[in-house]
Amino acid sequence: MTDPDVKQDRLADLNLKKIGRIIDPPAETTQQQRAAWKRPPKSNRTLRLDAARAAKGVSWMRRHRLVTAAGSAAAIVTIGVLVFLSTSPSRVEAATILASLKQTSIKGLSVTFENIGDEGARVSGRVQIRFKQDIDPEDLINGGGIAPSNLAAVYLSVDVKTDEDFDDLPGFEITAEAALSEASQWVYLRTGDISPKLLEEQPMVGVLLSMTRDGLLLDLEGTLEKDGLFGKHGLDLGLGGGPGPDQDQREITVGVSSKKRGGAHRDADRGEDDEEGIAKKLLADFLAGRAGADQIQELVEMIEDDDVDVNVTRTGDGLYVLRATGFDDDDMLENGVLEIHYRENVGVESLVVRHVGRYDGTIRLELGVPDFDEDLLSIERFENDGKTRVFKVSDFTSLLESLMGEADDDK
Amino acid sequence: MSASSAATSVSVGVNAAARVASDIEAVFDRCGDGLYRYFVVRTGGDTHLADDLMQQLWLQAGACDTCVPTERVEFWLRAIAKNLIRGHWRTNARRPAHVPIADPRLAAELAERLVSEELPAEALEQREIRDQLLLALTALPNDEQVLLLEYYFHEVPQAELGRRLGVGPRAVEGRLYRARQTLRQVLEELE
Repeated sequence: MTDPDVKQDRLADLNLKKIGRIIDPPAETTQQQRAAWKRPPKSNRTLRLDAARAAKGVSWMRRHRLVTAAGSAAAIVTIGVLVFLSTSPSRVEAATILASLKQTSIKGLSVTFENIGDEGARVSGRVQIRFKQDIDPEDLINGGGIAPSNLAAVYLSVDVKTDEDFDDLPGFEITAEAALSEASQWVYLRTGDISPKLLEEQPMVGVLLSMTRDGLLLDLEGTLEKDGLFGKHGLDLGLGGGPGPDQDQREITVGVSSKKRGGAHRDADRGEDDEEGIAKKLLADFLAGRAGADQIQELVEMIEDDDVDVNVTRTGDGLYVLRATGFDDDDMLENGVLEIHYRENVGVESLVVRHVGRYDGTIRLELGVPDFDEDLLSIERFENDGKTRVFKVSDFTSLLESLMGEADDDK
Repeated sequence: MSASSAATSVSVGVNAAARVASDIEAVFDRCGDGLYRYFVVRTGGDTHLADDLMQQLWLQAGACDTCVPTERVEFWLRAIAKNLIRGHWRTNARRPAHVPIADPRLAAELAERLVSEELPAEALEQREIRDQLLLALTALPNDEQVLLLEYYFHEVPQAELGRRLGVGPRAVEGRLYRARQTLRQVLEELE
């Protein structure tokens, strides 16, 4: 080594020591984790439920729509949890888990989704919600809803893309973001390059979309309280179901909601919606710790009908990973893998659905206070970028009101 | 999934695993942590996804008919890992903002600064710089990566490293020197 080399190496050594004290390296792995890389998750017990689904003629959760698929996924996940709990002879006591879930209160949640879609359109994005006061998990899935006044902050980011061969909007791309908090109330829209095919086939749509090409910001400040936007239109972040019946009462439903509240018995002739309703009811009962033997049996039958494989693996530190596969009867979830991460004495930490739909999408639900980036919520990042068109909605509504007032005066 | 299709998929998995040559498996075991770190950093800390990618890596290694010389196995596994992570982001519409992205210009500049000045703490606080360092560190060959992590991040003394490696203090110094050189080189060529 020459002198310059020595000097350089000493500096590298010094800098790396400093770096090592400041930067955290990625976490270490566990032996179980390393073993799991080389094999399909092996269970303390493997549940294999094969049943003559076709013979029963039930078409449970056969939907193409994105939201319904997600709702179905959530229902199946929960069914998986319940079967896991109900069949587990292991260290995890079902009663303890149910009790802990019942006591769980939710301070916030994050849903991320990547490449969810089918038939030429895909959606990626995330929703983050922080509650002012902890909520009961049952409220997330029950039609009771959550008062908007309990929302401390909501951030939503969605990208939608369509393929060139998508019939209605070929080669279309749009990014939407929204933030609703005390400090930030806005919606941002930006469209990507508009494909020649779209311009050719739908020139008017193309012209309209070109208005948002550099970004359009709808500043909602002063409109939410005034117009009660939540109350008027509702904010349904649900994974399924239509608008709730109580929207005028300013309720927000997050999760699986349904107007239908079927009894806990099955009838193959009642159709898909009733089947979903039953699943949702069971889901609510499960999260509320109310699921009894009859409902467990009900869920087992549903799983039998759906011919799902469920494996449970303990990966260390009290973490159990439930994996469910084989949702062949749902087009969106045909190759789907559901994963539930349950930690002893903590509860369910996350639900992940992988390989969803044609685009190999992923949905992840995490319970807990989301890590909000205040800069992300700030409207200033659009106002100062020099490109985005800003549209203050309250000015527009004031203008409308004054115009309408003048019109009335003229009469 | 029918029983037969389940059996088929299991069979495929088993066959793939069975076909993984023992030397490939040995390297996979030895370098597993390093490859996992490679994925964790490049998925923005998504450990679940990193686990998923490790499973895919194992299956691809088993499914490949190419005869790989033993001394090239680690390099070959890293090439598969690189393709897997590229493929993942290619099929995903949007890489989340927090996922580190290689910045060749910044990385090259950092490689130079690493040996020409004492880096100020505020520079190391910058996310972009941390990202380049972590991307480079996790792209290092396993032995050098482990050595740097143990010595600089976990503060394992050189004597203990020597004991673990079964070599003397001079040899540890020499290996650390080469690892630092390699890190610089990887930073210079980061892509």
